[in-house]
Amino acid sequence: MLDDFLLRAVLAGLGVALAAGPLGAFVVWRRMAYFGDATAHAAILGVALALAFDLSVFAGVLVVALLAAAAVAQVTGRGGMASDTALGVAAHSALALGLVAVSLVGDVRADLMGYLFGDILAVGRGDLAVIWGGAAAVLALLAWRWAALLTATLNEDLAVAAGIDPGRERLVLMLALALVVAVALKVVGALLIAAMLIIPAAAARWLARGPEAMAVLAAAMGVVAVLAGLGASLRWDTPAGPSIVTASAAVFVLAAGLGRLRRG
Amino acid sequence: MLRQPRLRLGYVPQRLHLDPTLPMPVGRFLDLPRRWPDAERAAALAWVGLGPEIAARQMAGLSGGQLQRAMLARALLGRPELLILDEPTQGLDQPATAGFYRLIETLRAETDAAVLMVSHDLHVVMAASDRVICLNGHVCCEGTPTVVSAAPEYRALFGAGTGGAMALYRHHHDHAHEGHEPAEPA
Repeated sequence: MLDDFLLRAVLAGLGVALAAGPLGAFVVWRRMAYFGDATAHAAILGVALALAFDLSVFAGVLVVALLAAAAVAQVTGRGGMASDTALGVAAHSALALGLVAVSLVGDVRADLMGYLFGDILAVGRGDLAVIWGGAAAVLALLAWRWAALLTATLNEDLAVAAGIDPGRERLVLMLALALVVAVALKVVGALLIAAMLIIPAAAARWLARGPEAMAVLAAAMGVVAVLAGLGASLRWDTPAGPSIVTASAAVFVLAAGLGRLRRG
Repeated sequence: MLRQPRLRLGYVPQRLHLDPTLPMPVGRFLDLPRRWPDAERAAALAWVGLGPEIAARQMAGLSGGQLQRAMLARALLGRPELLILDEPTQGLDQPATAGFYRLIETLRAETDAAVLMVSHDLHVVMAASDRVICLNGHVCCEGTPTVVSAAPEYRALFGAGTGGAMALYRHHHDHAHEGHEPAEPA
């Protein structure tokens, strides 16, 4: 049954959407959009490393994304919130450096587009296992740390008074972010991973009245975007990754309209 | 600083910056990070003079006084042994400030919690505290209100004539203690 490439593509997209939605809520709440971008762009550097040392691309991307997240958090302080200039420097440098490194490693010019924009229709069974394994790990991590993460996001002093270490919760988020980047690279590509984090969560904000509802809604909207985007890609022969992101943008606009109606 | 193990701490931050992207009803806020039974949440809200219907309202939609009371209700939920309030009335108008201080006084009388409060409202500090520590970048003087308000260091800061009651929010000048340099302005 998993022989069908389209079915594998759908399953891969759903795995990414389910993990990226709730994590994206935290990215939005903590104003880490650029931080997510920088981490995602560093994925290309991970690809180069994996090719050079003959590692799995997933492992290379995971390690480099983690290192990049930690480095950027160090430079900008307070877990990567604010300081958009430093993050802009990091995000674009990581991408450019990655592209240069990949070109030095070997003859991968043909594959480069796949890493930048994803290659969801070429997802194999092994990829699928990695994607669902990674997505499950992210969801388990978020569920386990949920109350502490939410308290630290609301107010760090409040968290400390309740015996929570905000620094540790930041590390948890960085780990989850690196996992999502590694998992989503094949599906939407390095350039659009941040879109899968931010757009469904932003769309969910229009309709959600509590943090848990927003996280669940974000996952649901990501799922709708994946299905609609893949459908559109098939029908009009458009690239799959960008089609998924376009669909999530459409979901955002619809949610905004609905939210206005309900409030108005 | 030593912290007694398992000390139950209630903390009310100076201000709560609510990111507009984070939907947060009051009831959910009270449950952070620990969840409490409905009855206890309602009791905590009643303590601070808020009705149970406020639990469904968004934190962002509360007035300054309501927000302050909601934060106090959350701090009370753990039955704290020590309640820490960091300038709890900053940004409140006069009646709300007075009401909030009356509430703290009632709470202190009716619960076992010790209250540690950071405040610039000198008349309240001097009228309601057991012990005052005057900070001006360093510990300037400490003791009971009578001792502190009579201390030369305190008078040098706030002047003697007004008894401290008319002191402005900012200290006018720094002064040196023997063996201490005046603190650098942060």
